[in-house]
Amino acid sequence: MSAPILFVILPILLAPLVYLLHRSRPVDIGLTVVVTVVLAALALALPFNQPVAALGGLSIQDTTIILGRSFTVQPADRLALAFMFSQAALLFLVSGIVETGAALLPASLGVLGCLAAALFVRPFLFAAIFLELAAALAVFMLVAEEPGHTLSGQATRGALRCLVYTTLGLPFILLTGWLLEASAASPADTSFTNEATVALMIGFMVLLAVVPFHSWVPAIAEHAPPLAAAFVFSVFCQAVVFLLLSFLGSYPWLNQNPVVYRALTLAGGGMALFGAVFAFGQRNFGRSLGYAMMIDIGAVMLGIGLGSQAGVAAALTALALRGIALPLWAVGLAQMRAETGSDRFDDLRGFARRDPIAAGAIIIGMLSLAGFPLTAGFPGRWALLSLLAQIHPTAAVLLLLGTVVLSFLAARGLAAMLQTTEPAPAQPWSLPPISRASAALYALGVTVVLVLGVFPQWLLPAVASTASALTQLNH
Amino acid sequence: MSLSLPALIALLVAGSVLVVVSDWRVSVVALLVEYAAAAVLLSQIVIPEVALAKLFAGLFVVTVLGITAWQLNFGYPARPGVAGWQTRFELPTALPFRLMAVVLAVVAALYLASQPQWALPGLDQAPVINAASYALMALGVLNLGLTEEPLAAGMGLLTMLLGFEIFYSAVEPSLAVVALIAAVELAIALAVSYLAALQHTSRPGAGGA
Repeated sequence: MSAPILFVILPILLAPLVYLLHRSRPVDIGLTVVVTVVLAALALALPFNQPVAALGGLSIQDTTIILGRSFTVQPADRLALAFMFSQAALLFLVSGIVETGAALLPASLGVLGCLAAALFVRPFLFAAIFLELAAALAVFMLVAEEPGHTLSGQATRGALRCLVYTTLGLPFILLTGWLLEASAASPADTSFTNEATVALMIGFMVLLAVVPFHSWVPAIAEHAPPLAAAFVFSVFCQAVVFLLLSFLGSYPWLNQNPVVYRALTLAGGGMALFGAVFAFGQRNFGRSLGYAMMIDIGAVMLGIGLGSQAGVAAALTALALRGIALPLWAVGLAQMRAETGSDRFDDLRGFARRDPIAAGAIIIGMLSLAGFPLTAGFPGRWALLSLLAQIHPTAAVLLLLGTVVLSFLAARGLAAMLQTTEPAPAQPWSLPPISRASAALYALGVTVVLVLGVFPQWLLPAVASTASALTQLNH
Repeated sequence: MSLSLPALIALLVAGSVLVVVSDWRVSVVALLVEYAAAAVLLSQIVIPEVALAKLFAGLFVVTVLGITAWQLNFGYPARPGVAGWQTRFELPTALPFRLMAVVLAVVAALYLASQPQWALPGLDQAPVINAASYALMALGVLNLGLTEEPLAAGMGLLTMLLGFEIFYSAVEPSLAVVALIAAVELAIALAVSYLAALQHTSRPGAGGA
């Protein structure tokens, strides 16, 4: 038995079973959550290459060879894997609150398997192929219909663009592999490593939706089912960031090249600026999230661009906390769409009075994504701003601008939801008829977001150890 | 006689047709021609097994897209008594613009390919294959820029990927990589077919064969 098979094949094999069970949702969701939580725990705790007493003395190998390519679970991969599987489990858990398309859970499991393969494959360059397969699978959940929100042409456009841009990134990363081989053959010629650096950076810029390759992000945020969008923005983006960090940690010619960090800082600052500018005029919760994501991706790039372990830790904190805020935002938005058929501010007058729980979830989730004080997103954003202020003050200002614009947008959305139509009397406040389990999940989500905002030290040690395992930056 | 030049011409014509013509019946055939011509070109630089594997992968992809197009009445609204494949062929709107764009893209690609300093790695001794790779990538990207219809954009994406594959096979000819890229192509074909089906069925007056 080998660990790569366990983490790659098990989720993929489970996907058809989960699809068949989609009519009995508690079983379906329970099975998916249990498997992903167990895999996250195994990623952290399972000993490799030695007999495991609990498995009757069976030894789990950390490497397997498929079609001549090696798939190896390294210590840094374990943490990345635990990160991804636990965030996926959180999304699967909250999917019980709202109606979702039948494709969400099985497609997510397939994507998880592909992303795990992307982390394990050696040489790293072939990870791009597995990312591409994951993007193709993600299409199936990004266009699933959900109650109260009929599929539009825009939904297929967002999913298609996601697929197209991931595919456009693929050749650049594969090309890097050949350039590295050429460089190894003639080490004196630095032109190969320079070209490899350029190809790799372009590939990652495309994969990370850096402007002008960003159009799929707002399209998906606005038109795809919120939980599917949240999965792509958290789990898929995490895998891309982990791969970027793996590349940086593995190749000295890459991590010792100051141009790489400058490019990351420039791209990150650009993302924060564009996200803030585009977000400013938004009057739609879905699209606002797209621009919030652009700012957040920019923040992650700025953190990595600092070229220090503290910067990477701040970037990973932002990623982890994004994964906590997104499920809350996603269930709130799905509930809103199911009840009103829209997420435009103009169509939501009085919604906060009719369903204060969903409205509160959206606003708290959005504030956390913005990095507003007293929410989970704040500690990571603050740490990053403090680091940036010393080295790249302009980037810090751009990121701060993003936080201010998103907070303003959340306030404007809240005002729209509290507003009543002028001639009609103000509606009385009421609670929606939701189950106790749903209420408990909402309460848990809000509590986690608010408590982590006050006590971030509960999460930070895990993030710091992940950062230290993933980075050997000698910048 | 070498088959390289006829294969290059076939690739250029098929790639151009994919950009200019929006009729799915023609597009599916053009994509099939692209894969066949690409396999012919590849057989000049890699072992026959690899070229054959590419051809089979292409056949699978074209089959998936062909079945989808058939099921969706080749993109035409359902009309009683008239099957989709029998519908009269119509030239697309903006035909002159598309033709001009194709000519510009092909000329630019062939010019780049003819410059020794821009020869793709591994293809500096195979100018025809180098030109084919450049032209397919250019036409694929052009197609992606001109359409957001899933099946057409998918074919553009596959064309671009085919152009890259031709070049990449020269530098990384292992069967494992061929298999992985074939899996990617098949996944893209399935994904765009799904998107096309969804978009077609959500359109008023849509029908299936």
